[in-house]
Amino acid sequence: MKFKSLLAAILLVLATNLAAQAQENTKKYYATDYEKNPVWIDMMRDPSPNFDETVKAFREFWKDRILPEEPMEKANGTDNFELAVGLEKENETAEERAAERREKDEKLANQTGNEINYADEVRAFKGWFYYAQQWLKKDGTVMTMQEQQAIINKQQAELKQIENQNGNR
Amino acid sequence: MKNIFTLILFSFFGLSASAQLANWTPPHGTNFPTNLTGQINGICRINELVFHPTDTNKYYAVTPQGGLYLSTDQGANWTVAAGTENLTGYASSICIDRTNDQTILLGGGDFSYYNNGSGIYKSTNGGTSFSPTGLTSGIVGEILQHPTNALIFVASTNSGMVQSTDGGNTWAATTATNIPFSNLVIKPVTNSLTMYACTRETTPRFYRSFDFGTTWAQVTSGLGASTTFITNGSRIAVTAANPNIVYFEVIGGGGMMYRSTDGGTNFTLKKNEGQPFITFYDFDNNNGLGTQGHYNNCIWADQTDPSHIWLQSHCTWHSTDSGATWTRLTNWPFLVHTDMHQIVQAPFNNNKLYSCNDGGVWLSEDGGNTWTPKSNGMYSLEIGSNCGKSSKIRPDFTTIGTQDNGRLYGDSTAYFTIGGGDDYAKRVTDYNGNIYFDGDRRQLNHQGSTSLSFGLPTVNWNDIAFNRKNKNLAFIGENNVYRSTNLNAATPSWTQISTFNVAIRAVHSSIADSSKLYVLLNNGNIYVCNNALDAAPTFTLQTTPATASQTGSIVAMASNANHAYYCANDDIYETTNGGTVWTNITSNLPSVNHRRILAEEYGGTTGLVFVATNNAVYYRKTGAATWTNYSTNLPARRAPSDFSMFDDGTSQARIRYCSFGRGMWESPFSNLRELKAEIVVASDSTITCGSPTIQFADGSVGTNNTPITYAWSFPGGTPSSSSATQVNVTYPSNGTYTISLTVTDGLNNTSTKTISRFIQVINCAPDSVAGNAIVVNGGSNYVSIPPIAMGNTNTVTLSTWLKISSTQPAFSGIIFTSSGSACGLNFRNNNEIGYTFNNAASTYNYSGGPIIPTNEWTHVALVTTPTNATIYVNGESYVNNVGNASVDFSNSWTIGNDRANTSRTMTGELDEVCIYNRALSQSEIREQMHLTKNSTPSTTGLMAYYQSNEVSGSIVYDRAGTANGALQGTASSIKSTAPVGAGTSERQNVNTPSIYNFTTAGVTMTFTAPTTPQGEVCVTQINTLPDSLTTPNYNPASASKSYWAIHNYGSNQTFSPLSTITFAGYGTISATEASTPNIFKLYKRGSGAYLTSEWALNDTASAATSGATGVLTFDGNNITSYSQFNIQNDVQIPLAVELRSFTADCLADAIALNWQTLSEKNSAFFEIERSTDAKNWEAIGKQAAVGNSNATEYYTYVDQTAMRTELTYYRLRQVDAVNNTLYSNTINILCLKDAENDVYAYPVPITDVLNIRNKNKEEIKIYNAQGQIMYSGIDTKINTGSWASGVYILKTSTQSIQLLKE
Repeated sequence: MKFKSLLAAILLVLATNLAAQAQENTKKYYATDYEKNPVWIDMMRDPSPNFDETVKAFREFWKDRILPEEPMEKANGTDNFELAVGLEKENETAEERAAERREKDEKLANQTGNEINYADEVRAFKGWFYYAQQWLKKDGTVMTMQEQQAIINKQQAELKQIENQNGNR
Repeated sequence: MKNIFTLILFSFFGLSASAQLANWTPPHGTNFPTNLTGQINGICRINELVFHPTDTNKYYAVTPQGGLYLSTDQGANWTVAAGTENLTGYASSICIDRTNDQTILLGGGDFSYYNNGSGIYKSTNGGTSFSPTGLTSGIVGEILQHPTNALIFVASTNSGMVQSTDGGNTWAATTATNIPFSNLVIKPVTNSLTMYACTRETTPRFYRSFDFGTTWAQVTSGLGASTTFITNGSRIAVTAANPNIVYFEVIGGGGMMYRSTDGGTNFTLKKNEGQPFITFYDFDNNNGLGTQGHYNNCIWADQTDPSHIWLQSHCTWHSTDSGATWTRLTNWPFLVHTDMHQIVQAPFNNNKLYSCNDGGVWLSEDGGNTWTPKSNGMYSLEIGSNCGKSSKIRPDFTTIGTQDNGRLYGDSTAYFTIGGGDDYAKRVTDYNGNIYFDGDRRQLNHQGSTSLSFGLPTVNWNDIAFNRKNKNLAFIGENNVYRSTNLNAATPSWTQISTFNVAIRAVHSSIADSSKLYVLLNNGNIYVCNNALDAAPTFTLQTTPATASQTGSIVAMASNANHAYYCANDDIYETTNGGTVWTNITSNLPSVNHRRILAEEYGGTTGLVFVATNNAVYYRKTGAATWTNYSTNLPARRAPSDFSMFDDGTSQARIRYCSFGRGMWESPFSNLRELKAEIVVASDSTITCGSPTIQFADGSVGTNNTPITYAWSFPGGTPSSSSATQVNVTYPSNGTYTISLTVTDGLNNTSTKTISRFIQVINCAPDSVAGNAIVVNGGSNYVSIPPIAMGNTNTVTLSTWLKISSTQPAFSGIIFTSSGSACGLNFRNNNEIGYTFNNAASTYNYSGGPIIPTNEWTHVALVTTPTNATIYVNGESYVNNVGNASVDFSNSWTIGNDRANTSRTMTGELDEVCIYNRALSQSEIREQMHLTKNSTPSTTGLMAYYQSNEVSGSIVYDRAGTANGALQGTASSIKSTAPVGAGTSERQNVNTPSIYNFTTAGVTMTFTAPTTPQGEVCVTQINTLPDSLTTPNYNPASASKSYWAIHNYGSNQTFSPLSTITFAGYGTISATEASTPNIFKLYKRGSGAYLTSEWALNDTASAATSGATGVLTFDGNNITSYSQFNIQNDVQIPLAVELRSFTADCLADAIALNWQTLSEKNSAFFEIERSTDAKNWEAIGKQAAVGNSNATEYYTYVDQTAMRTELTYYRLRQVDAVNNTLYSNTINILCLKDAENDVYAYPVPITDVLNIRNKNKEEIKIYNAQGQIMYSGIDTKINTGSWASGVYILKTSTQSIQLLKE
C-alpha cells in the first residue's frame, strides 16, 4: 500500500514536472529575428505570443522569399491566404496579381535547391492561422486547448440542460 | 429541493421554458464523394490507421481534425467515435489495449502538421468518451504497448519519448527528452523490447532502446543527411520477414534510404540524395514544386519480403532491391490521393496494403498499382474559412471549398467533387442560383461553368450582399462599396458608390427595403446608407466600441430594415432604429470570435437570429435576455468556418454550419417559428401540360404542438381534398387551379395557406401560331433536352428557324446530341452552316453549306439517309454524298449548343425546332417549313417538337413527345417574329407564261413573258397574322387569311412582272368594303424579314369580292420576286378588351396577378403597372395577349419583386398592335408576413361582397367617411351591396385599413 502511494507520488511529481517543463519552454521572440529566422514556427506552437505578432513574424520572413505552394493553388489562383496575412495588397487588380505571379515564377526558377524547405511548416501555419482567428482572446493571444475545452464543456452542459427540459435524452 | 435545483440551473443558464431543439445532420450523407474531375478526390485527412489486436474486421482511423473513426467491416464503412465529437484536441495516433479493447489511448496534436499538441487522452469505454491523462501537451506521433505488461506504454512526442506504467494515466519522461520524434516502431519479434525511433529534423537522428523505451541511445554509424533540398523529417520501417533489417529514410534531398541488417547498429546508404526525387511531386523536379517534407511521407517494409519496400510521398514508389532502385507506381494526381501519412499492410492479410492520406483510407490489393477508397463515413472534410454556402434558391444544394479535397457541391443525393487540391476560395450565393468565388469568377446556375467573370473591377472583395426581393441587385464590399443592378447580365456592370476607402468586413442589403444598406468595417464601425439605389448614395458613419478585426457580419430582419444585428469578433449588437443606436446583446455567448450572424429571410416578426460561435449555434428572439443553445447533434469538436442559410419560409429551411474537419452540418429551424401553413410543390413551374400529377407536401412551420392535422383542398383536382402530409394530385382538364392547406395543431391553433390559381394546365398539342421563340445566349445559356426515343437509325431530319445577329463561335451547336459521339446541325467558322453525323470526319469537315445571314429568319434543316446528308437553307439543298452508319440515338440533346460544351453555344433565337426519325423529302421541307406541325404529314415521324410558346418557367415543352427541355442559365423565350403559323402549302413548276392557280394556298398568279421562274414555286398561306403590321388602323378581326410566304426555287430569282395576283379566302369582306377595294393594301417584305419597318407597300387591290371568304385581286405589276406578303385593311376597329376579373394574391415570395378576358379584339399585350400610392405608376412587365377571341382567356403574371409588406396597387394597360391603350380598374393588395394572423380584407375596391380574413376572430368595425359604423362583428363575408361609393375605414384593435368602394 505504501509502495503504491509512493509510486503514485513519484508519478505525480513526474507528471507535474512535465507540465512545468512545458511552461518553462515559453520563449521570448524578437522582432529583429523575424526577417532572417523562421521564428513564426515556434510562435505558432506557443500559446503565449500575440496572434498578430506571430502573423507579422511570418509575413516578415516570407516577404522576400518564395512561399511554398501546391500545384492546384498555383493553377486556381483562388487562395486568399497570402492576402489575409498581408503578403498581398488590397485593391490588387488582376493584372497586378498576374505580374506578381510571373515574378514569383522567376524567383522560383532561380532557386539553388540548397534553401531549407518549409513547406510543411507553411501548411501548418495556414491551418493554424484560420483556426487561431476563431480562438483569440481579448489580449490577442490564442486560447489554450484547455481553455477551449472548458468553453465546449460549458456549452455541452447547457445543451444537455435544454435537452433534458424537452424530454430528450 | 429538486425543484429549487432545477430553478437554479435554469437561472444559471438563462433558459427559456419554450426552448426548442435543433437536429443537426450531414446534409449530403457521409459517403465518399462522387468524383467529377480528372484528378483523384477524397473526404478526409488520416494520420493513422490501426488494426484491432484480434478482431480482423475492426479498424481504427485517426483524423487530426475529425477525431476517431471506427469500422467493423474492414474499412468498408466508418462511424465517428462519440468520444471525440466534443473533444477539441487534435488526434494523431491511437493505441488499443490488446487485453481490453475498451481501453484506448488517443495521441493528441496534428502529427502531420506537427502542431497543436494536446497530449494523450484515454477512453475506457471503447471510444464513447475520452478524458485527459497526465500528459496534457505535446504532439503524439505514436503510442505502443509493452508486449508482456499491458500497463506499460511508450509514446513519441515532439519533445521527447514518454512512458506510462499505469495504463496510460500518467506519463514520465525517458532519457530521450527535448527531441522532436517522428516515427516509433518496435522490433518485429515476439515479446521484443527493442524499439527504434527517428526525428523530424533537417539532420534527422536515429534512436534505439532495448528496454521498451525507458532508455534511449542515438545511433550514427553509416547515417548522414541531405545537403540539397534540405527539409525536415525521417522515417523507419521494419519487417517481420527479417527482424534485423531496419530501413531509415531521410526525406530531404529528394529522399535518401539507409538500411541496417544488424538491428540498427550500422547502416548502409542504399539511395543517395538526388534523382529520382522520390519524396517530390516530380521525380526530376521539372515542375519546381519540390517536396512537403515531413508532412507528406511514409514508408513500409513488406512483411513477407525484406528487400521490398514502399514509399509514399506525393507519389507511390516501391523498391524490390532494398531501396537501391525505385519504380513509381502512382503519380500524385491519380489513382490514390496524395499527401501521404501512412502505408501499412493488414496484419492478418499481407495482400491488403492500405494508404492513409489527405483523401482518406485507400486499399490496394495488387501491391500498390491500383487503389480503391475505403472511406465511406469518414466525414471529416476540412472546409475553409467562408468557403461553405447554401444555395439561396435550392433547398438541397450547397457548395464547399476544402483543404486537400478541392471544391465540392452537394445535393439531395450525395457530394460531388468538381475541383481538386486546396480550395480556399471564399464564396457567396445569390438569389439567381449563381455562386461567386474569390477574385472575379462566378458559376452560373449552381453547376455551370466556373470560369465566367462577373465584371468586378477589383479582385480582393471581402463580402457581397444580394437581395431576395431584387435579384439583380448586389453590393460588394472591398475598401469601398460597388453596386450592380444587372446580375443577370452575362457580365454584370459595377459602379463604385462610396469613397470612404476603409477595409470592409461585411455588407448587407435589407430585404425589407433594398435602398437600405449596412456596411460593417474591419475596425468595427458601421456605415448606414438609406438611399443605396440612388445615383449617388450617401453613407452615415456610426462609430461603435466593437472591432471586427478577425470576424464580422451584419444582417437586418427581413420584415424590418431598421431592425438589424451585427457581430464583430466576440461582440454582438442590435439596433431597432436603423443603425443610430446599437446595443450590446452578447449576453451569455462565449468570449470567442463568432463566425456569423444570420436572420431568417422570410418573416422576422419575432426577430429570430442565429449565431455560429465556437463551437455551437445559438438563437435569439427579440427581447430575450439570453441566447439559447441550438446545437443538438452538432459535433462540438471544431469551430465554425462558415455559416449560411437556405430559407424559403417553409419546413425546408435550413441553417448550415461548416467546420474545418467535420464537414458541413444542417438543421431545420421551423420549430422556432410560429405556426404557419406552408406548401411545398415538387415542380419548378406553375405551368404544365397533359393531365399532370403534381405532388404537394406539407411545408408548414411552427408545428410544435402535436398532433397536427392537415386539411388539403384541391378544387378541380383528383383527389379534391386530403388529410395526408403529402398528396399527389391529378388535374384532368386545362385551366388554372387553386390549392389550399389548413393545419391545426394540438392546441387547436390553425393556419391556412392558399395559393390562388397556382397550377395552370395547358394543352400540349402543337400551337398553330409562332408564339414564342427560344433565346440562347452563349456559354451555359442554352436548352437541354433529355434523350428522345429515336431508336437506332441513319435517317433523321433536324430543322429549325433561327435568327442570329453576330458571328457565332466556331462549332456552336444548333440542334445537337452526343449520340453516336456527335450528331447535329451546327455552325462552322464565320456562320457557315455545317453538320456532324456519327462523329465522322467526312461529315464535320463538310464545307459545302452556305453562310447563314444575320438579322433575318432562316430556316435550316439537316436530312440524313444511308447514302448522303442534305442541308437545307430556306428550302435550298446542299448535299454531301457520304454514307451514314446507323446511330443509337439514346443520349440527350441540346438546342443552341453542342453537347453542353459552353464554348460551343450560339447566340440568337430559334423557333419551331423539329426532330424526326425519318428523312423528309425536299418537297416536304419546302412545304412545311412555314407551317406549325399540327397534322400529318408534318407529324409523321416527328419525335420531338419545341415551339417554346410557354410564357413562364424553365420548361420547354415537347409538343410531339415527352422529352421536355429545360432552359439553362439565362436562356429564355421571347415573342417570336418568325414567319410561322398553321396554314397550307402548294408547289408548282412555273416555266412558261400562263395563269397558275395555287388553289390549296389560295393564290392565283398570271406570269408574263419573257422571264418566268423556270422552276418550282412554293406558296404557303399562313393562317395567323405576321408578328408586326404596318397599317395603323388595320383590322385583323375579319382577316382569317392575310399572310403568305412564297419561295421561288427556279433558276430565275426575278421574273417579268405579274399581270395579276389574286388572294382567295382573305376573310369576311362586306359589300361596302368590296365597293372600295383600295382599302385593302398588299405589303411585301423579305423572306426572312421580321421588322415592321421592312414591310413595303406593294399595291392596292383593284377588285374585291364580298362574302365570308372574300377574294382580293391586285394587278401584280410590282411583283418580280417572292418573299412575304400581307394584306391589310385600313378600316379602323378599335381595341376592345372585355375584362372579366382582375385579382391579386399573395404567394410565398411574390404577388400573383390573375385576370380573365371574356373577349378581345385587336389586343396585342397587357402591360402590368404597379404603384405604392395609386398615383405614380411603374411598368413592371408585359404579358402577350391572345389578340382576338370570343372565349374566356386566362392570364397570370407573377410579380417577383413585389414589396409584399406595403400596400401595393396594380393596373393593366391593355395595348393593341399600334399602341392604342386601355386601362383596367386598379386593385391593391397587402401581403404581411403573418397575414393570416392579421385582419385582411379583399377585394379592393370593394364589390358587393367584402371578404374578411380574420384568423383570430378579432372584432372589426367598418366606418364610412362620415364616421358612421357600417358594420361591427366577426363575419368573414360582409354584404356591401347597399353601401354608397366612397372611402371606408376598417378598424381592429391594432389595425386601420382604408377601403374604397367605387
